[in-house]
Amino acid sequence: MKPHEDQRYIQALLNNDTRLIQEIYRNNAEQVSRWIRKNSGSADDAKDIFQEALIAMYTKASQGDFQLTAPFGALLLRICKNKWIDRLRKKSRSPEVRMEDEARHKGENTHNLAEETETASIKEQILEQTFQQLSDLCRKVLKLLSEGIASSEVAIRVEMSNANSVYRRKKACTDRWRDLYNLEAKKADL
Amino acid sequence: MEEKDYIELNKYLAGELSELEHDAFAERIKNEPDLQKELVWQQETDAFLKRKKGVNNLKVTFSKIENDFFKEEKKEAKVVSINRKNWLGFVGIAAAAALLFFLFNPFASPDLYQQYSNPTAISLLDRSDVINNAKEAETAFNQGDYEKAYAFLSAYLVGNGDNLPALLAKGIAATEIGNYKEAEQILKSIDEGKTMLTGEGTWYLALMYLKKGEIEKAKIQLQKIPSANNRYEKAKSLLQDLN
Repeated sequence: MKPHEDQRYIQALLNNDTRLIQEIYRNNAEQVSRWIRKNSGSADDAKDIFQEALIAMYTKASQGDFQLTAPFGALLLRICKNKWIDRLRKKSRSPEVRMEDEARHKGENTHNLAEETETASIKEQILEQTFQQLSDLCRKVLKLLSEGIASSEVAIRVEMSNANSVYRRKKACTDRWRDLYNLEAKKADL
Repeated sequence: MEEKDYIELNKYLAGELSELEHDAFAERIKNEPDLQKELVWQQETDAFLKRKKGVNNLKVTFSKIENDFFKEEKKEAKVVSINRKNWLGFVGIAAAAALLFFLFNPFASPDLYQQYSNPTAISLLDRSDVINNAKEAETAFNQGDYEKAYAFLSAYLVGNGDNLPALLAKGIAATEIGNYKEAEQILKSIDEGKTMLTGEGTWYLALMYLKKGEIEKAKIQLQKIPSANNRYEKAKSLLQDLN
């Protein structure tokens, strides 16, 4: 299937293309802002949600297959709405917004991709949250290795005896990380 | 999973095995579900850590753009009008907090500073105000000319040394022009005081350390910001980025 013409905006997020990202804001910010303000939010809330939605799309797109089947703006608005509704629900405010909204968007072809993007975004948040629970040393070792620094060099930087010690430490860290992640993922029904 | 398998898996991923060892291990992966499972987790976490950098870069781009598109109506209503004869001196502590809320980004480089600062400027004086050094200091500061702002603020503070907002502005200007020693001294004095601006002092002291590259010191400051402070969320987010 021929890619949707708005696929370039997905690419723009992956490439951090300022000009096209500006176009994304120009084309969509007002609509998102208006909807959020209409639903108990402020312009600042809208700014945060808009940013979170774009980061969610970036996350999903950077994991591989992300083919737009609807206009970028429609998907972005859908994700923003979902995020805002979830936030309101957490604050126990206006749960009726979702019901009203779900009815309105039934059958819209942004639904599946929006849900997948949201799932990727939640997983990412749990990865972040649980990564922050690791020790300073764990985070440092994992970060250095992810930057492509050779294990022997990492050993020197974190004052370990050799590369194998680094990997042993990494194992302890990633095992712990996985336990924490699985626990939170279960709570979030993932 | 046994430790030796884990180590070999990581060497496999890092390209640290010989060709022969690499091929043999690839064969094992095909046949051993435990290894496959571990491989997926390693790849997922590694990709996540790499993405963190991409996300940070995107946030910097967003921060440069977004204020043009999301106007905060509240903020516009808060422009402070003050006595023309003594600009910052007549600003009460609440107005001072409002001023600081509006302080634009003092950091020009496209990095974490931009991401964590507020780029909105404010006008405090009427056109007719002629107050020695005050108007000039404010204009220079709002235009991002920190060399000039620093000079005018220094002059203004002679005789107005107890003016906290002006002192804070000088601390920020000193940070921006790389006069870290003085910036630290000023910002520390605000951070250690018990005023409405204590949190601002802590925040800008953290940013000063960040700019200077003293990340651990920056983190210590950020951790001090209490949850009730309006910088708390940003401090938390910056801490996460620094980790």
